[in-house]
Amino acid sequence: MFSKLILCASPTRLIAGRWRFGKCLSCKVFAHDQAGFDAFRLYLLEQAHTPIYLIADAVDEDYRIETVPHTFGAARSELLARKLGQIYRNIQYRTAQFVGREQEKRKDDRFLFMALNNADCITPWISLIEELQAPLAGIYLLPMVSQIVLDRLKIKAPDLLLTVRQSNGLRQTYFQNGKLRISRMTQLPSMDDSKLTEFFLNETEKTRLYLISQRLIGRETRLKLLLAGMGDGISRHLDLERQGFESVELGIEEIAKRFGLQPAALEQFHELMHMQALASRVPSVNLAPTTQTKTYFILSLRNAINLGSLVVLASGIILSAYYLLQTDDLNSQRALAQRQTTQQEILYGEVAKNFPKTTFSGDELKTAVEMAQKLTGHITTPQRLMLVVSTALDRAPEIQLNRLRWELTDDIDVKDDEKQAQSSAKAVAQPTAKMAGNGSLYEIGFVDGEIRNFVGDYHAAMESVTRLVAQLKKDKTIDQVVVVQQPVNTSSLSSLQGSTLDGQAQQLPAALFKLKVVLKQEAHS
Amino acid sequence: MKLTAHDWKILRLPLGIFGTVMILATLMTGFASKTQTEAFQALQTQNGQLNQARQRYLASDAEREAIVKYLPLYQQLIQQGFIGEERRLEWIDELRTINQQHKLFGITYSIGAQEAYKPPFSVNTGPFTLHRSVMEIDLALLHEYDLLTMLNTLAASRHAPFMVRNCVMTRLAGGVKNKFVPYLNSSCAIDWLTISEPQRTEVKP
Repeated sequence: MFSKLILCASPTRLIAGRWRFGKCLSCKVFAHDQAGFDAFRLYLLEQAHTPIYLIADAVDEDYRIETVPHTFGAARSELLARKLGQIYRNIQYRTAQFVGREQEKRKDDRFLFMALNNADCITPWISLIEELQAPLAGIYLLPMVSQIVLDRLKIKAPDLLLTVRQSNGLRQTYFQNGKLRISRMTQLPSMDDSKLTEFFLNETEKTRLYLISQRLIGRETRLKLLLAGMGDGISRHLDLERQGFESVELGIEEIAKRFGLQPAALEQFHELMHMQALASRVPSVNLAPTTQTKTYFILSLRNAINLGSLVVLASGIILSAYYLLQTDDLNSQRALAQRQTTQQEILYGEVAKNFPKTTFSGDELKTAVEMAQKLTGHITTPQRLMLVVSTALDRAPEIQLNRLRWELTDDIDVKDDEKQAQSSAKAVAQPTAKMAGNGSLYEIGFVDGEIRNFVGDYHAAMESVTRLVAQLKKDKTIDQVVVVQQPVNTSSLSSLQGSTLDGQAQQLPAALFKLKVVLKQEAHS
Repeated sequence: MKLTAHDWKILRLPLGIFGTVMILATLMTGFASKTQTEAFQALQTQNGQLNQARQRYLASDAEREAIVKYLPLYQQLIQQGFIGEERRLEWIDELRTINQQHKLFGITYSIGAQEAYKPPFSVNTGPFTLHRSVMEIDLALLHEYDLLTMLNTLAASRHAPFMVRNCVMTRLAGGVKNKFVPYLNSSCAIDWLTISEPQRTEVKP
């Protein structure tokens, strides 16, 4: 899970190294022939499920800066895929790396489009990887990794030319403000070291002229040369300062020290510097199509799911342990509270020994007593109504009282219905909002009477009732008096029958009337 | 990137393990959380009991005073028949006594079944349950104030409290005043009120 297989493929050979936690554990070389392929097959079988990162160190590469409208997300991916298809129609290994945004106009995005024009140097190895379904994480051009090398060396310059001697040639990579722009690889002919310096000087000059022709630098631009593993004293030997270059030399020992590598191994495999850089950090883009990295994707997904399982399990255990610890703490607190409660109860028991014996607390006894007092306070009789009606009737001798009904109710709109009057006593009184705010009930009376010695004078009869009502209203204990029934109903809404002969024939109907009297409420506590 | 059946086969076991671990972790955490919540609630309850015990101890003087003050009154209510079983025989006896004492023309009564009662005004019943039994009374009257005499005497008899719900007085046909014959007929509905105690086995000291 923590191992990496870093491969560096050149036209002549493949260097394969196994890294674990950023440390190179082993390194092997496979020749670009059938024997090498067979050996690599066996090697891959030994390293099953180890992610593979492949560096292509080839001559046929292409780099170009392109601007595209500023987009992001899926739109950017789609745009770049279309652009890559246009620029590198028949090239399988291609990619685009974001460089920055234009400073003017639309502020378009600037991308470095890169491609491996001739993939012969990696095709046999990739075929083997695909055949064995080994997890290929990505394919990178060597200059893409050079950018990581440069970051790691912490050497910065506006115009920097990294010159590295590889096992199969001389590679010169140009960085503008720390960003990769262009790279070229030159095959190294067999020659001695004295001629090598001249070769290097010529190639550097060619590169400079190329950069000028591409308008990447001006004629007066002072290039900074970073010479990695080129041999000690080469800049002094060539007097590069006089040639118009600023130079920094990094010998094998220095590189080995900075990258944590063995100098002997680095001397043997110059590519180790780039492989080590790739082992420590992976570029954001790679050349491999998704079909070739699918196995790696599935492997990563599987690892992510396994990691997720581990995280969930660990979280569950930690959270459960936290809850259980809290539970333990709470239980301890409860036990303490229990002991304190018992102690308080013992203290109370000691004090309460002298209390009178009862099954109820003082509050409960008080509640029962107060309830009885309150209910007793609501005992009301028809006395008030009888007194009021009696007083009024004393002043109306022409009126005879036939029936008096008194009701204690919470419904001020109660009607004098005989049946209802009987059943209301049986019905459970419902507490309603109509009850007076002072907590008392309404005392309502219905007075049924008639006019004594009625001789058909309805005017006089109605006058008598009106006087009686007025007399009742004078009483301060009365809230309202309503005439429910007049001696005669003169309403236009009902029929009226009678005869003017009724008086002579002594067949007069009785002049009956009914009043509803509501007494003012008495306050109750 | 589309995943094939072969890819899913590779991912099947990790996904299964992940699902199992999720369920396991959820159950484990849920159980631990429930245990913690229960422990917390138990602590809250225990703290409540502790506070009550403290308050009870601190208020023991007031408690004693309340018991000393209200227990005799409470026992008096029991004797009167307000607390406990209804004493219907005593009510009937009282009616008979009133009838004899005040030389009434006889009182007819009927008492309905006892039922739970919630009065139309607010009253704190505490742990007690309030009941009522409706008594309907019919009596002939020589004078309307005989009804008041009967009701007032009943109220003064210090039995359970009652509430007069309604009364109707009707002039008898052919009734003559100032003769020793019934002149009016009256009927009343009365709620006899009693409360029942909650079931308690423990006797508080």
